Amino acid sequence: MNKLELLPTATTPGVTLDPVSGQFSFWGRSLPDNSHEFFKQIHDWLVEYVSKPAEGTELAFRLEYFNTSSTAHFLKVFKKLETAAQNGSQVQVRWIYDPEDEDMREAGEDFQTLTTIRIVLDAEGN
Amino acid sequence: MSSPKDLQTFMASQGILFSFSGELSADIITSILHLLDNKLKLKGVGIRRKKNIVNIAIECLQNIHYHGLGLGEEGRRQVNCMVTLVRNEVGYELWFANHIGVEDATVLHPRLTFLNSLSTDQLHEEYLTVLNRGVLSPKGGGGLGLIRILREAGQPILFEITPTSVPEVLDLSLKIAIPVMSPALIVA
Repeated sequence: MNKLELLPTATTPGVTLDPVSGQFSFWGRSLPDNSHEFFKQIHDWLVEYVSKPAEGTELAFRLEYFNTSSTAHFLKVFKKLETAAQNGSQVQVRWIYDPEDEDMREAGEDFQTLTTIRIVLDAEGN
Repeated sequence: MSSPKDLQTFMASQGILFSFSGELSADIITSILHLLDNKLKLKGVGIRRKKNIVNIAIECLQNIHYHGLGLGEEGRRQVNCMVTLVRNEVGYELWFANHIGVEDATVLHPRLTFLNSLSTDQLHEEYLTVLNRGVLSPKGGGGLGLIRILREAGQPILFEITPTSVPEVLDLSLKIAIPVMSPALIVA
């Protein structure tokens, strides 16, 4: 399985999904005009990954802006990672936000209530 | 008003920080968001308020782009809109105006009326419910955008749907206040 790497643009986030190390990251802005088209490649990649995941999976989110359709796709990503956890991977999400950005912290808290995977709220990488 | 200077003076007197009127495209939305973000940064607006304003602009502009009525010629879908950011004594206001169809208006009016009636906690609950439902529309959002706008503003959305000279075309205008202080403090 190949590593998936997407460079950030003005409207789509940078994405790294490494199947060997289990280190994943999303950063930048997620405001795609067509969220289905952008996230399809990520969902497809994850379907394969979660069937035989790395021993540990850590997903770091550091986003400046995202639209609500991205929010729905992030939740789908977290739901897929629940399957990775069921298949033996130690899954953790680090939700990194600016300490002054209460909205971003609240978004992380919302995801905590909607998924069973561990989401650590991290005020600016602390 | 006879000169650019007159226009600049008028805009300043009305507290207009930014205004755009014209055809929307994905690239223009990106540019507007970039300009708004920079403008607010240069004005020294704090991160929380800046993000409230930009997040509302994101949802409104993308909603208009996807759902606004296109009135282009020869089958080309051309969605026009006006967006304005105003600074006033209580905070900021974002104004939007665009055309919508009668069918969209019959869905939007009761939905906005319902969402406007919800408390902060009820809106949060509604947001989690819709998000957890996991049903995305082909364009992506599945109805989360309006809820987010209300949550970001912390205020009801003032909206007006009015007829135009064309029977199947309506004017939609939104006025979204983003107070700098909490509403309770403003009333006091």
